[in-house]
Amino acid sequence: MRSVEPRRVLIAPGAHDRPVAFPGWTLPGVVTAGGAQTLVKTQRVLPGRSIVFAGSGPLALAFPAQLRGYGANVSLVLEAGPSPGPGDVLRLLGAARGNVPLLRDALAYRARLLRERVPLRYRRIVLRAEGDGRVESVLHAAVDADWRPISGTEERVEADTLCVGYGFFPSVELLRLAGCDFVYDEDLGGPVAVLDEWLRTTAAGVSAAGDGTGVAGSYVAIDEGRLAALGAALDLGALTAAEAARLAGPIRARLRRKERFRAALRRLHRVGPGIYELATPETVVCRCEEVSAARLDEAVAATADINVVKTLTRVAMGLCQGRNCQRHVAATIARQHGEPIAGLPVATPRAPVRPVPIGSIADSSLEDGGFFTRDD
Amino acid sequence: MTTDAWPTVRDLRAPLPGSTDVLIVGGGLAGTALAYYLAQAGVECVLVERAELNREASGTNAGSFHFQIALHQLTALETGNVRDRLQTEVRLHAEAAEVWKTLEHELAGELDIHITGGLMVAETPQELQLLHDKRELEHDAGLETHVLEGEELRSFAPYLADDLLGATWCPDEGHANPMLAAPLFALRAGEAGAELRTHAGVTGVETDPDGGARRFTVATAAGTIRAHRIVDAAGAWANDLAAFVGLRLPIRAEGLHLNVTEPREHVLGPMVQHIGRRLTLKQSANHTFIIGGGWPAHPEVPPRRYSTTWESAAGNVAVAVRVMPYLVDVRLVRTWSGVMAFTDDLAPIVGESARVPGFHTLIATTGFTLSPLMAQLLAEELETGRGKIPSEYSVDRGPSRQSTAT
Repeated sequence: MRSVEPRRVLIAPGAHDRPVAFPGWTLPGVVTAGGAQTLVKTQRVLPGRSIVFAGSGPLALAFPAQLRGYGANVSLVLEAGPSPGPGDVLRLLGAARGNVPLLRDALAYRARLLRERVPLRYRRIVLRAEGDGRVESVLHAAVDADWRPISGTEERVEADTLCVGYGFFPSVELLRLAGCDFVYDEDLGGPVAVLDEWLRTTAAGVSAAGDGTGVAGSYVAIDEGRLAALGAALDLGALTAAEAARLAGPIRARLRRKERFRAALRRLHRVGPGIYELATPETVVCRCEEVSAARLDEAVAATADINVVKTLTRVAMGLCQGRNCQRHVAATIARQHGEPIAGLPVATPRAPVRPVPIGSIADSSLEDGGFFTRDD
Repeated sequence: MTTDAWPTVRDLRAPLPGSTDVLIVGGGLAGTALAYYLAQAGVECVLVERAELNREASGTNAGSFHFQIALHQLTALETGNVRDRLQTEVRLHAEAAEVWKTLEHELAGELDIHITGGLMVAETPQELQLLHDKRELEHDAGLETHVLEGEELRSFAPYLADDLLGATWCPDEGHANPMLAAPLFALRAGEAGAELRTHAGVTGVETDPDGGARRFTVATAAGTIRAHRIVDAAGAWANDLAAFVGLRLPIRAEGLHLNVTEPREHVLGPMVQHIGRRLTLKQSANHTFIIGGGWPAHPEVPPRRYSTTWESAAGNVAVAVRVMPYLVDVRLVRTWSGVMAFTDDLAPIVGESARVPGFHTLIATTGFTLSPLMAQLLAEELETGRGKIPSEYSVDRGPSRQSTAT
């Protein structure tokens, strides 16, 4: 381990899958889109022989098509959002300038699913993964505009794999540790750092870029990285204000066009609150510490403070430190206490953020500075 | 933890009663335990907590039971009768051990109590000599300890580094789960009739010496309450309350650092400490390793919680690996901090102030180990007017008894 003392820091932590707790989500055979993508792309291993994809947003179109391209048998795609209507198409065309590659990709993915006869069903959500020891079937249903299931529309489909991809969350732990201020934007994945025009955070000397500041995809991430670098160069006197502004011009124009494109898609991709209401009392919502929804509910009745809920139940205290369950916990608190999820404080992140072997950080040259205290 | 429901927000945020006999300030282990013992004895009491129950030192410490004499106790006392003083403390700790042993039964719930025994290791000949010196003191006070050396230690504790010179074995030491203790006391206190209120931080205290049963008028964020007696169980913030009645207690707050690892197979039974360096190490009921020992955390302006520092993490785990090489590839998952109350002379401050009659304190430096016992003793005194609290723990002792006081 080595410490450095830089004059500027750019934090670009990326994003992770939005986990959704539904009955059966911990069964072997249920994989997140991110996990499946790693299997397929970097290890060339298919997650299963008969795959149902349940998700929403750009990924719900792209990933099943990519999986199909790798030879996987995707038997059904469930998109929670609505099918694009004429108004959506018009909005997308209106925002097409600078986004033609994205539109072209989307059409190609759609064409592949059609060609390969993979059914893509809109406004449907996974209710449950079922099976004895591993996934054997998937129960799904139609949902309303808030993604709440409509009773009587349930259908069951056989599958050995359920791939879940309801979007991504920015990985904000490092930004929180750096002391940045946050705002809440559900469309960007929840709590996101407040940034200025050069992507500086509110913490002195710290900038941020990419999906970790709001999930917007790789094209935006690359341009944000460029912009943040120009900002740092400006701050350190390597560029004049005029030079920085000139270099940033085309980048800002591209980012504006991407933003218009995202706005045009907002109706289609907005995540509904019903996604956090699928767990039944016995559903394990924190898989690291094996905490059920019933136990979580009991603790949430005693307090609206997520840090207290943690200590009462051990939820979010395991290996993943809440990446898998924290939003579900927050949604439960919001629902039971009648508060908007946006206003809830987030559990305190702590170093080392990701598990690291003790030997890689232990430093025996550090003195403990005398001996007058001890912990209990 | 138990099949019982926790108190609900509706209970904890209900209107504050207009008056009570005993008002307890602070919803940590000391306060909730006192509420429980008072309610059991039929003494009317209300507990007010400024934020949430069990959020500070009571819920953030490592949960160790410390009964052996520690180095700071041996060295911090340069004057006075060291031997008597230490023996009082050792006897008190032995009593605390008895309380903890019966607590799961008493409270009818799990606290993850494990009397595993504890080892205090020595690396140098000087440290080994200290182990022998303190063993004598402990023996005289009635605490069972043994000094193990060489091959004896290696076969007794094969998980320790084999070049350690020795270790004191104390079979009474162990640990409990700090996340369970205060909430269970709170639950049982409520069932027994105590009123508990959160988000009720005290904003002022008016004292009327002739007010009798309504001697104190206490303003809180949840309303005003009149009380016959007040107990300051506010831990590191006890002086905030004491200041309202014109007292200054000889305590200071220290932010301490802790680490927890991933779970591994169960390899470490006892709690492990170091006679000369800051270390406590144990494997918890869910098989994670908890590493602490008093490395500092970085103070923050409230309500921000004290932040952890990389230096404390790196230094603390280095001591742990030195003592137990097995840990080298175990993954560290999280660090956290707690703000602990340290009395200047490291002895508890418990009882009624002679200067402000009716004002009591319930504060101990090794609070997790001692608070249930201290709460029991204070409850008895509040109930009967007579108690067994050692006079050395008087509230009114000067703030400068210890030469190294800060």
